Amino acid sequence: MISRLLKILSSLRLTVALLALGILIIFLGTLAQVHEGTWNAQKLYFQSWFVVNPLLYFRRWPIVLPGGYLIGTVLLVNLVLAHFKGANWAQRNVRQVLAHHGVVLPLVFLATWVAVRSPFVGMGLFGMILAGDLWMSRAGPLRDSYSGKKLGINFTHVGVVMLLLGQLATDQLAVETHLRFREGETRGYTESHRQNELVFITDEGTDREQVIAIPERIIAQKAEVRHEKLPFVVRVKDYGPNGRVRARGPMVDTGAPPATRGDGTRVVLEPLPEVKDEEHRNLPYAVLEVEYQGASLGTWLAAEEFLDEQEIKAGKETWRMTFRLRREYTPFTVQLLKTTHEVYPGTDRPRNFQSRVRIENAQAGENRETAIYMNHPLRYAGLTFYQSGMIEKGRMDAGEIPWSDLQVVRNPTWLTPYIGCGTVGYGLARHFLFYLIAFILKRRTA
Amino acid sequence: MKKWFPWIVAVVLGGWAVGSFRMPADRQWAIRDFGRLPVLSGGRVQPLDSLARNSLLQIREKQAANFEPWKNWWQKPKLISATEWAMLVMMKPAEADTWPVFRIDHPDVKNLLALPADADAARQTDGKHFSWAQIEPKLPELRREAARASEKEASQRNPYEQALLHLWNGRVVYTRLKNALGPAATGDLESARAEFDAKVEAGRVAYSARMNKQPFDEPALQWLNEQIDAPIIVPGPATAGDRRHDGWSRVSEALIRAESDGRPAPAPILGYARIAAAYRAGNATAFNTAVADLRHELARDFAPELAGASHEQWFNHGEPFYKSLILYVATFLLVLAYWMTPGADWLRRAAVACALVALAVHTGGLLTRMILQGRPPVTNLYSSAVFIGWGACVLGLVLERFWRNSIGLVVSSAVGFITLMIAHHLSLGADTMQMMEAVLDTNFWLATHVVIVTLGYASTFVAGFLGIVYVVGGVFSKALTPQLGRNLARMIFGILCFATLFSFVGTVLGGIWADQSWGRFWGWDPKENGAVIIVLWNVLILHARMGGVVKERGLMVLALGGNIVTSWSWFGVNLLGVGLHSYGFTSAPFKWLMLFVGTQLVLIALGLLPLRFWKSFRDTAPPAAGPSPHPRPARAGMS
Repeated sequence: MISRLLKILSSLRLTVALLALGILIIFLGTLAQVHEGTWNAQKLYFQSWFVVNPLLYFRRWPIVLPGGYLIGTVLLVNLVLAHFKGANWAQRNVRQVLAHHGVVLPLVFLATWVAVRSPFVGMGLFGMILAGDLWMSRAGPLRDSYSGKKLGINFTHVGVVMLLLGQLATDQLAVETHLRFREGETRGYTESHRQNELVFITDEGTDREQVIAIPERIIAQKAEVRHEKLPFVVRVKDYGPNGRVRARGPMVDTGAPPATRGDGTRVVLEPLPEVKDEEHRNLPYAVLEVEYQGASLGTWLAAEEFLDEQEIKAGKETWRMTFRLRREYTPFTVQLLKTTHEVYPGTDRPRNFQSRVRIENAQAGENRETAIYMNHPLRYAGLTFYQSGMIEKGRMDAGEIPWSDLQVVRNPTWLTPYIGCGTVGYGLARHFLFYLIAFILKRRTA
Repeated sequence: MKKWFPWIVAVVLGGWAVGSFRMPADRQWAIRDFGRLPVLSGGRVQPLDSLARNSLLQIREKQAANFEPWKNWWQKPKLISATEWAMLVMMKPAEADTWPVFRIDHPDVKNLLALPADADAARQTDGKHFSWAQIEPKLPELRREAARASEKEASQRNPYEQALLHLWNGRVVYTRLKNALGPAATGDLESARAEFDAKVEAGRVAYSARMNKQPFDEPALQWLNEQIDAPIIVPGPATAGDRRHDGWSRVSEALIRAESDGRPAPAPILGYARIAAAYRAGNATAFNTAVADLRHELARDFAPELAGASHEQWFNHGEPFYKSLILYVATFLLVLAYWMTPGADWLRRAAVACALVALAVHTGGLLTRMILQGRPPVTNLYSSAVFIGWGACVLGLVLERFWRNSIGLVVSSAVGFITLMIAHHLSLGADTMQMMEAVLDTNFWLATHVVIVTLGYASTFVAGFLGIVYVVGGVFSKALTPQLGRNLARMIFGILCFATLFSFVGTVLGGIWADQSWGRFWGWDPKENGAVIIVLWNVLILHARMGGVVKERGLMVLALGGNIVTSWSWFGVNLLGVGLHSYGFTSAPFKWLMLFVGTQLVLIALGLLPLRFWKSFRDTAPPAAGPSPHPRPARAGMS
C-alpha cells in the first residue's frame, strides 16, 4: 500500500498532472481578477489549499479545485521523491555527486549574489562556472559520469524547490506598507495599505506620546476593550467595515446622531458595502461607549473618514482617539526634501519621479540625504523604499505643496527567489548545452 | 544554371532590397528636405515625414494619400506622399480640406454625416474616403455623438461608437497638423499676427469666463485649445544632456512669449513663414531656398537633431519590414515550388537564399530602429511582434541548416509573415517609437528581460508551427514519412528545451525587475501569470515526453497547445486589461485572437484523429486501431 502510494507520488505522470492543474489554476485565477480584484483572486486561488465554488464569468460554479498551496506542496513531494527513486546509489556515484554538486552549487549561489549587486560581473561568473563545469563533465575527470549527466536536472529541481519555499516564506513574512508625505514633512512610521487600527493617544512629557493601538479585527468582534494603560473601558456598540459620514443637514436629518459626544454628534453615518478591488479603500467606523469608574461618559463615533483626533477626558487624563491606517513605527525618521516630477515635452507621459529624502537615525548617529527614484529603491535597516506615487504634474506646477508616496517593504527572504532563479537558470542552461554539445559532436562524427 | 540559381536569387533580391532604400531625388519642390525638418511630437524629435505618415495612418490606415480613390490603379489615381500631403495641410489648409483622405467604413457614421455610401466614379467618390469639407457641415452632430461614445467604457462601445471615435481621433490628428505653423502658415506673419493676437485674447477671455462659471465664447476657447495641442516645431535654446528638448515650443506659444518679452518672433518661425509664402505662391525655387535656409539656420545648434531626422526619414522610406514581409512570401512560394518538383534541391537552396535576404533586411530594420531610438529591440507590442518574427526566422534557418528538408524554411517564412502582418496592424494606432514610461525607462532590463522573454515566445511559436507542419502534412498528404515524423519530434524537443530556458529566464528577470522597481518579486499580475503559464506549459511537454506520457503525436498536439498558450499570454492578457468586465469582446484584436485559438483547436482535433484517417498513415495503421469493434472503411471523402 505504502509502496504503491510512493510509486504514484514519485511518478512523472503525477508531475504532468500537477503542472496541468497549475496552469489551469493560474489561468482561472487571472480571469478571476476581473471580478475579484488582484488581491482577492490571489488569496482565493494561489494562497489557498482549495478553490471552492469559484466565481467566474459572472456566475459561481459548483466545483472544488486544488488551490496553489496544495498543488505546490504535492509538486514538492513529487519532486523530492522522484529524485530519490531515480538516483543511482552506487558508492562511486554518490561520492562524485557530493563532490561535484558540492563545489558547483555554492559557486552558483555566489555568482547569483554577485549578480544582484553587479549584473554584468555576475553573468560573467556564471559563464566561467558553466564553462568549467561543462569541460569537467564532457572532457575532464567527470567524463561519462552519472554526476556529470545529472547535475543540470538536479540543480533545476533544487532551484524550483527554493522558489516554491521562497514564495511561501514571502507570503508569510513579507509586510508591505507605504509612506505618503508632503515636502518638508518628517515621518517616523509607515502605514499599512488596507489594515486599520483604533488608537488612543495621550501626551507623556513634551515630545513623547503614549499610543494604545487596537487592531480592526478586535473592534470587529464588537467586544469590550480593556487595557492596563487606559483609564477607561471601551465597549464597541456598532462597527462597520466601510462607511461614510456627512454633515447633518438642518430640517432633513432628523434621526438620532450616531454618537452622543464628539464629532459624531454633528454627522449622519451611512454604512457602505465592503469594497474588494485595489483602487478603492474601506473606511471603517465604530461607535464606542466609554465607561470610566463604572459610569458611562457617553458614546463616540470613531470613523476613519474623520481626519481629526477626538478628545476623551477621563478624570484628570486627556486621551485623543482616532481610527486610522495601521502604523509601523521605524527606529529612524525620513524627511521628504524635494520631489521631482518630469514628463516628456509636449506630453503627459512620465519621464522621471524622484524623491530626495533625509534619513536621521539617532541610535546609529546617522544623518544623510539620498534619492529614491524609479528602479532605484533605497534599502535601509531591513526595509526597502520604492518610489510609487506622486502628486499630479499640473497641481505641482500650480503651486500646491508636492507629496510623494513610497512603497515600503519588509521582506527578510527577498534574496531567496534570486538564488532560486540563479540555480534553475544555471541548471537549465547547463543541461541543454550539455546535450546540445553531444548532439553537435554526434552529427560531426556521423 | 541550377547550381547558380540560389546565388542569382540572392543577388537579385538583395539588389532590389538595397537599391530601394535609395531615396529618389526631388524633381521640382524640395519635398525631401522639407520632410526631414525636425519636429517634437509624442515627446521625441522626429522628422516631419514621420509625423505626416503617422497622421495618415491614423486617418486612412495608409502611409500615403490617394486624392482620387474612386479610380482603379490602372487609371493612375493621383497618389501623394505623406510629406507632400502634410505640406498641403500645413500651408494650404483650405485646399487640403477638399481632398478625400478620411477613411470611413461604418455605414451609420456615413449616414450621420450624410455622406455617399456607395462608390460612384461619376460623382468622384469611392464610398470610403471623404474630405474634411464633406464632413465639416455635420461637425456638431459628430462632436455630440463622439462625446457620447467617449463617455462609455472602452469595452462597452459598439462598432459604430468605435468608428465614431476613430474618426474623431482622425479629426484631432488632422487639426493638429493644420495648426502646426500657427499664423506663419499664411506666409505673411506680420499681417496674420494681428488676427492671431485678437483670437488669443478672445480665447483668454473665454477661458477666464468659464473658470468663473459665466457664459463664454465656446469657439474662441476651442481655437485656443487647438493651438495648445499643435506639434512642437520651434527649437528652443539648446542645452546639454537628456533635457535637451525641454526648451522647444509650439509656434503659438513662442509668438505669445516673444510678444510679452518684447522680442521679435524667433528665427525658425520666420523661416517657416518664408517657406509658406513661397509654397502658397507656387514658387518652387523660393521654396527650395527657404527650406535650405531654415535647415542652415537650425544646423548651428541642432545638427544632431537634423541628422537623426534625416536617418529616420530614410528608414521610413526604406520600409524594411514591409520588404521582408514580401520576401517571406517569396520564400514560401519557392518552398511550394520545391515540394511540387521532387528532387529539385536547387529550389530549396534558392528558398534559403531568399529567406537569408529577408532575414538580412529584417535584421537591418531592427538594428536601424534600435539606433534611431537608442533602445533595445523590444519596447512595445509592435516591436515585440517584429522581434518574434525575427527570432522565429533565425530558429527556422538554424533548423534548415541541420535538417535541410525545407521544414525550417516553412517555419521561417510563415511565422515571419504572420508576425510582420500583426506588427503592421499594430502600427496603425500610433507612433511606434514613442517614449517609454518612467518605470520602463531602463535599457538594462529592456535588453535582458524583455528580449529574452520575447525569444521565449518566438521559440514556443516555432515549436507550435512544427506541430502544424506535422498534423497538416500527416492528415492531408502522404508527405509525413516515419523518418520525417521522428525528425520533427526531435526538432520540437530541441526547440522546446530552448523555449523553456528562454521563457523561464525571461520571466525570472521580469520578477527581478519588479522587485527592483516596486518591491515585490511576484505579484500575480496578468502579464506575469501569462509568462509563467508558458514556462509551465513547456515544462509540462518536456516531462510528458520524458515520462512517456505522450509519444510523437502527443508531442505535436501539446506543441500546438503552446501556440494557444503563447498567443494568450502575448495578446490575451492585454485585452483582459482593456475591458475588465467584458473580456474585451468587441475589440478587433480579441476577434483575431479567438480566430487563431480556434484554428489551433481544429488542428489539435485533427491531430487527435485516429491514424486511419491520416493520409500518411492510412496504409500503415493497423485496421482495428480505433475503439470501434467494427472498423469502418475509411471514406475517400475524408481527405
